[in-house]
Amino acid sequence: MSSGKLPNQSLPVFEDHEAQEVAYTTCYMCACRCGIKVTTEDNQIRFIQGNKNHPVNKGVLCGKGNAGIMKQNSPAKLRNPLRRKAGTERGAAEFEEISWDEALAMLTERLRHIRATDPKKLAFFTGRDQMQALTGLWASQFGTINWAAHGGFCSVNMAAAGLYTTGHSFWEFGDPDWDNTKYFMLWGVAEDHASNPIKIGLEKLKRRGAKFVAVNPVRTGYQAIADEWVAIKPGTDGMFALAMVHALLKHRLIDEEFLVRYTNAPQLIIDTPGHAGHGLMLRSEAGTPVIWCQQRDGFAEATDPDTAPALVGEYETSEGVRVRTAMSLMLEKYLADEYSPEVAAKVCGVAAADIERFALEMANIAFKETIRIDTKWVDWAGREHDHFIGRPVSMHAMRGISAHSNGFQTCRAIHLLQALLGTIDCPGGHLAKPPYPKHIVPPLKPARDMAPNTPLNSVPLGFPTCPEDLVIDEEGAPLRIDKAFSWDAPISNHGMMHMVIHNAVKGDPYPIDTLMLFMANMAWNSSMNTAQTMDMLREKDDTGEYKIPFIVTCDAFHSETVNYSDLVLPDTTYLERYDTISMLDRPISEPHVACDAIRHPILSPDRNVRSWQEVLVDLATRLEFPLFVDEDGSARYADYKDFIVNFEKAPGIGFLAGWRGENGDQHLVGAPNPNQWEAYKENESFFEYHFPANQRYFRHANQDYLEFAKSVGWVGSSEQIVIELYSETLQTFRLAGEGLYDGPTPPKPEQQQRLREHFDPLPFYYLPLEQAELAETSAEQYPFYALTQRPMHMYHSWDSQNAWLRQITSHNYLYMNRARAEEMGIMDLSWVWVESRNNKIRVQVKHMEGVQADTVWTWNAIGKQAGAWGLSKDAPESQKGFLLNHLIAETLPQSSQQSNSDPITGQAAWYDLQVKISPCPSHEQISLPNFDSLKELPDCDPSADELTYSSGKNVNLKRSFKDTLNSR
Amino acid sequence: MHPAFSVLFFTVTSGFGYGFMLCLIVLQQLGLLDMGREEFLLWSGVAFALFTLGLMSSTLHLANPKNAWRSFVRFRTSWLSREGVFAIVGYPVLGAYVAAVWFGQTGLWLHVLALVCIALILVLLYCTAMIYASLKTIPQWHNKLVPPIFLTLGVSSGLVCVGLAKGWQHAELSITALFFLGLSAILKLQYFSSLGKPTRSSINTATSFSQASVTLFDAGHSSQNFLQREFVYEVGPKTTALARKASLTMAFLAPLVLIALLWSKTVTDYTQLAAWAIVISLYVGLLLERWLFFVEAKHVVRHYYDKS
Amino acid sequence: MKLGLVIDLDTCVGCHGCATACKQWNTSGTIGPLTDQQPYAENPDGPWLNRIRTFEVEEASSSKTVHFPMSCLHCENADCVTVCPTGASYKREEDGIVLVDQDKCMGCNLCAWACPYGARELDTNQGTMKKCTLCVDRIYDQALPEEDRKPACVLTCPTNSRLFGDFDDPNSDVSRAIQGRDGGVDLMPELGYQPTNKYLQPRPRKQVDELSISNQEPKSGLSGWINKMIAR
Ligand SMILES: Nc1nc2c(c(=O)[nH]1)N[C@H]1C(S)=C(S)[C@@H](COP(=O)(O)OP(=O)(O)OC[C@H]3O[C@@H](n4cnc5c(=O)[nH]c(N)nc54)[C@H](O)[C@@H]3O)O[C@H]1N2
Ligand SMILES: Nc1nc2c(c(=O)[nH]1)N[C@H]1C(S)=C(S)[C@@H](COP(=O)(O)OP(=O)(O)OC[C@H]3O[C@@H](n4cnc5c(=O)[nH]c(N)nc54)[C@H](O)[C@@H]3O)O[C@H]1N2
Ligand code: SF4
Ligand code: SF4
Ligand code: SF4
Ligand code: SF4
Ligand code: SF4
Ligand SMILES: [Mo]
Repeated sequence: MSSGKLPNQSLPVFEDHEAQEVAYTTCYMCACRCGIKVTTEDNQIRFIQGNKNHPVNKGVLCGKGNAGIMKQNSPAKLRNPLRRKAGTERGAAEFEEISWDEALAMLTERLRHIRATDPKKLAFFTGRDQMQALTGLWASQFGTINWAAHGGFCSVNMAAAGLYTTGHSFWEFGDPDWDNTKYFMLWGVAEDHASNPIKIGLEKLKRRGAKFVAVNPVRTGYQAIADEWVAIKPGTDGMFALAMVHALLKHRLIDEEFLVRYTNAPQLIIDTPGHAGHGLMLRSEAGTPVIWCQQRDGFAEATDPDTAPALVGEYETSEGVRVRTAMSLMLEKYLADEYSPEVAAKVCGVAAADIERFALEMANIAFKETIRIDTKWVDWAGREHDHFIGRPVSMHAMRGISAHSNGFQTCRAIHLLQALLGTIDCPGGHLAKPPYPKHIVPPLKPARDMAPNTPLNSVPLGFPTCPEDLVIDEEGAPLRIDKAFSWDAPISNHGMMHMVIHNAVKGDPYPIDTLMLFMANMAWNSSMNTAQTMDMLREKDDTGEYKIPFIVTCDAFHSETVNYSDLVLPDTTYLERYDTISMLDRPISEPHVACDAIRHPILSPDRNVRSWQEVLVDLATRLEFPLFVDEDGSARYADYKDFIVNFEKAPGIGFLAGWRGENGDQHLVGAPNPNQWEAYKENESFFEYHFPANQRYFRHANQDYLEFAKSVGWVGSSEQIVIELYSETLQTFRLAGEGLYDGPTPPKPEQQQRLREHFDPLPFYYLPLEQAELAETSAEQYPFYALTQRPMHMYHSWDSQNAWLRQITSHNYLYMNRARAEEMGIMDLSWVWVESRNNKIRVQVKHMEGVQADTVWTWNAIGKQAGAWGLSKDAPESQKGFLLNHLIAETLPQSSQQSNSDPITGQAAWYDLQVKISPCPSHEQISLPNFDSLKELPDCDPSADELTYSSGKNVNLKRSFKDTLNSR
Repeated sequence: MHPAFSVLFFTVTSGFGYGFMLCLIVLQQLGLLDMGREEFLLWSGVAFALFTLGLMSSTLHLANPKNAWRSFVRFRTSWLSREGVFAIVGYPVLGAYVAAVWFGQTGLWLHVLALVCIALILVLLYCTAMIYASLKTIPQWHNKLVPPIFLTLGVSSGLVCVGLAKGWQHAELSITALFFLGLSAILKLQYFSSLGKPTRSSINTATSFSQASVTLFDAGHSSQNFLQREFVYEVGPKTTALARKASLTMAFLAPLVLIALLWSKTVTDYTQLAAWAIVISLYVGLLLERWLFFVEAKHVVRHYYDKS
Repeated sequence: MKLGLVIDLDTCVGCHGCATACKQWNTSGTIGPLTDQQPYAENPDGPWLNRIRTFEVEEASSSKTVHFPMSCLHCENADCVTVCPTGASYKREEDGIVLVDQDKCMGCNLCAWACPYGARELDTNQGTMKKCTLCVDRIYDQALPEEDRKPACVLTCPTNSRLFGDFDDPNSDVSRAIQGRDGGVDLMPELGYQPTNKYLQPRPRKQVDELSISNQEPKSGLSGWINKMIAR
């Protein structure tokens, strides 16, 4: 990559390097968390560039990361703790500044009372943050089960489908093998968390001449550089995937070795329809799943290495129970016409011939262009192999799949496709990112029991495998405020944040006292049905008391949600605080490198702000959480830094994995190191552990890896992680739905029906719930699917305050297929009404070619409420920009109780939205709904109307006067 | 192109000034200008005033006028620089001629000086034209007709000023005026029709996708930027058509008719008023003509915004 | 020396990284500051030296969306230089970089008029013309580690869609990049500006063979299935 050394030139000294300081930290402009090298001169940022050595971004930065200067200089930064003035209405923005002591004292008092009486009355929810390990620990120490992060409305479908199937997942828990893959299929991704890694990877594989297929109704961003664009109908990917499965099975183009050795495909399933136990695994006395061994011509334990399991077959046990292999069930299910490419074509709008072709192209790469990496490795049974087999077909999928109410099963269908091709954690396939893979599923149950002044006996979020694990009372009613882990959404591993405000206001299942929000713009882009959510936040009961009595928001900027808070705690920016990117949290690891990282203050705040990390530790100490105080009640940790260094989750395991041990010579596990932060700073603020060649693939069945993972606390045992194509967990819940389960069963018929219909142990396609219900009543009424996409250069709501980024996009359009729009007489740039079953908005249309004809879409979260984010009242964000969220209902058409979510995981179904569009006669060019402008916060200087930023003196390169005269 | 008024005013007014000075000198040299020295001084003063006013207004659209003096530096390549230099040289040289006349000087050297002045003014008018005509990026300006048009218009405006100064009795004056106005009218009409021709650049050559239909999906910025303000100045076809008619009528038709009438003695009273009418009509007509010259000029950067 | 950029339209995903990297480097750099007007109001706008547009390119055979980054192309035959009356605008003999001397510019816009590529934008606050400097204040800075002596936009591009180097040196990144991609293309060649920067058109779409299944009879369901002996 050298550009050839340039000759020395007689040029002025442009940079005063002596006056400059260079520091390494971690970007926070999005969740990708790239390593950055920040050059400053007298507390001003000269330049933010990518850290070449950082495993995530290898020196590059995206559009946002490069605009950090204008995030740091945002006029919307909060300056002081704020309290809603006594006697003023919530949402009227009558705030008064108070001191931190006052703020924390009043909060402590309130929280102490809740904790001493009824801990669940505190609901603590966090948005796009990256410190769930700490907030989760805090909540369990407080003793409330009402905690979760954004996962439930984000992409829990991907996480859950992965963790219940392969042991890792898409999202942040796995990556395609960019260096070896020869065929890459991208499902429903506009940008994603692995923002720079995906960009780096796509270029790698294009340069290598690999094929890139983009499955997406819209052709922008990544899809623009794909070799083939599949303009699929939203919500139908499950059908598309399973039709490819159909084609592969039809021609028996599958990796049978992989299925036999690494999946539960050969395991035997009890086949006694209508009886308890139907569809469960046949198990030995030891409780181990059973296979049919072809050598012994008899049953054998699936964990027995010296067997030759039959992949397909039907047998009878000595007790005369009929059993069939999981694979047999799959053949039966997927070879049926219902999944033939011809039928699928009608559903997905993708030609049958193309569906079959994609399947055969992938088979060709997987089985004819197989790669081989010659490395000795030992499998789970201790057998040595001299090479890794690579089937270089890989996939990545995200919210285009997850944000539908059929997303969990769709994502499982994609994992099934990967497994049939043998491309899971193999060279060229989809690789797990340590600490993943985990056993299916991690032995962590969601906490249920609460008592005053007592920490939870478990964490609020976990992995249910049977009805007993649900967080419900004897009557089967939800115990959590968001109704997670209830019969409505049994496997809602990440909670259901999108239901909290709705439920709390309805008092269903019960009212709460305090809602504490961190990094979540719940009064705006992060809520469905925004307009009504804003009303709910102000809703009062007959006694005149707010239905949510107290709302605390920790934010760094003047967001819409700040406006609806009773107490506002101003945070620092990412360049002003200590922070950890921990392996206990969402890992930033790369497939072959386990990593974590830190942030540390590079600039000193010019405001009265405190980092949420510090505040949480402070509160935990004031509230005397057992983990945070010593016996005598004195503080155990001086501050956040001290907590990170000395807190041990398990002996030797803390938030930071690098430079542990008294003298910092141990990694991953080791005693606390008092100088750990310094060690990180010396090492450019990140830690990486590289895996030896023999531990890089097939880690679900790789003995050396599994034993290592166990030794560092990533997994509980070194047994093989068997990929669960057939999910006994799902079948267990289905039996409960059928009343064939001796244990808790759902009381309500509709709950029973949801379980029966959706908890299929094998992936299947179904019409998204909202669409199914609409189809019954008003099928033709809403002819368009309506979606949003992430703009690569903006992060949710927070980049409109960025003077550079908002120049790129300060308002959004509704994009329509040109031909389709013209048919309807809707002209380019004209204004239209967009109506859903829930609401009606007025927006401006823009035509484009590259969008599926029945689909309309817009950029996410560009629309803003006037007055927020330091923007003027007439800023286009509020006058022309808009949110699609107003149209999305948080509940289903036919039941105001039933959340608009995936029935299995509770994932918010943002993209099930259907709308109708009609031209808008009025000549008024303002988007609707349009809300009153927010009032300015106290002590905020009006935003500059001209910005001339320079960190130092600009040194002009002068042209000699002589030259101006002489040159031609 | 965005029509900055300062620029319209500059080109038209200095055109009048230089054209007037040119005609005064030429006619005087031909002995067709029976003017006393006071009268000559007065009218050349007017000419000086006009082009000085024009030149001054041209500095108004500079974002950094304090560096205006530097504009003489790039005489070698820049037509704008050349115009500046000649404009400055113009003052002593033209001044010398006027002075000579005032002091009643005669002799061969005065004729020589006259020739120098004439050449200088023609070159000046040519430079102004070339500032625009040299821009390959604007096909409507990069057009053979532009320099002759600026020249004939300059001369015409000069002649009508003389007409105002001396009245329209002299057949010679009227005929020359009719000739030059007519000639510029023809050139202008030709110019208008030449705008119809397709230009070489297109969104295809701009993006290198020669075989496809290319449309702009996203400009990369939401609100108007410098490029759009400068180059994407849109007026409806109706407006331009109307402006064309108006400018042709006021700049050419009206003056031609009036001059013809005066000359043919069909009109005998209000002649002074008529002479004023001619000047004003031409001046306003040319302002319109210059506005169109900008508005109808389509910079190639427009292709990157999907505007042809 | 003939320094310039190669821009690869085959891999650019339109992330705007190069645009904002350019903005942040240069606002404190030699051409800076780059003043933004109404940064938080109705029409936010300021000079950018590099902008990314997106086009939809519809062809019978292959339709695509193309992200199209544009900064100064440092033309060989640069009228933006010849028209400049003050001499503020010039092309360096040493390396062909086209620059604007901020102390000499009088803000007459003529150079912007003469540029076919929209590469020059006036800074109304500074009263001077701003344009890409090819990061002349980075590429020669001996105090920077050698691999950092590249334009900010090139360093930051996640997809290597921007390459920097000397076109006179056959082994430079840029020379090697255009070899095998038909030497790259010029934008609006008909104007004869002879841009130094070259654009690489999207590669022909990759084709993959289907696995031939002629010899294999479709196995319908369990019936046709014979298990293989596979050791667990
Ligand atoms: N720049 C930037 N990066 C971000 C974020 C941001 O706001 N800005 N947000 C971060 C967060 S919180 C998240 S969750 C991730 C999400 O990252 P993405 O998964 O990229 O999220 P979306 O932008 O919702 O993209 C969804 C894509 O799926 C497509 N799609 C919609 N429905 C369907 C469907 O039924 N089938 C298929 N095949 N495609 C469909 C849409 O057209 C869109 O391209 O991004 C993270 N990264
Ligand atoms: N229509 C539609 N709606 C969506 C989505 C969609 O695709 N379409 N995506 C959904 C998804 S996946 C997600 S994850 C959510 C995003 O949901 P959220 O995370 O709720 O939204 P953000 O806008 O990312 O940021 C929330 C708040 O964090 C604040 N913040 C930023 N930096 C800091 C900091 O350093 N400290 C503190 N304390 N606060 C900070 C911001 O000011 C903002 O107010 O949106 C959801 N909403
Ligand atoms: S992807 Fe961009 S915004 Fe996100 S962390 Fe990396 S550089 Fe920062
Ligand atoms: S940084 Fe690279 S990928 Fe992003 S827009 Fe610029 S050229 Fe394209
Ligand atoms: S791109 Fe424009 S500014 Fe750059 S050299 Fe060429 S003509 Fe001049
Ligand atoms: S704007 Fe400045 S650089 Fe451009 S032509 Fe005028 S003086 Fe020269
Ligand atoms: S080379 Fe430097 S100045 Fe030019 S576009 Fe790239 S970053 Fe901007
Ligand atoms: Mo998300």
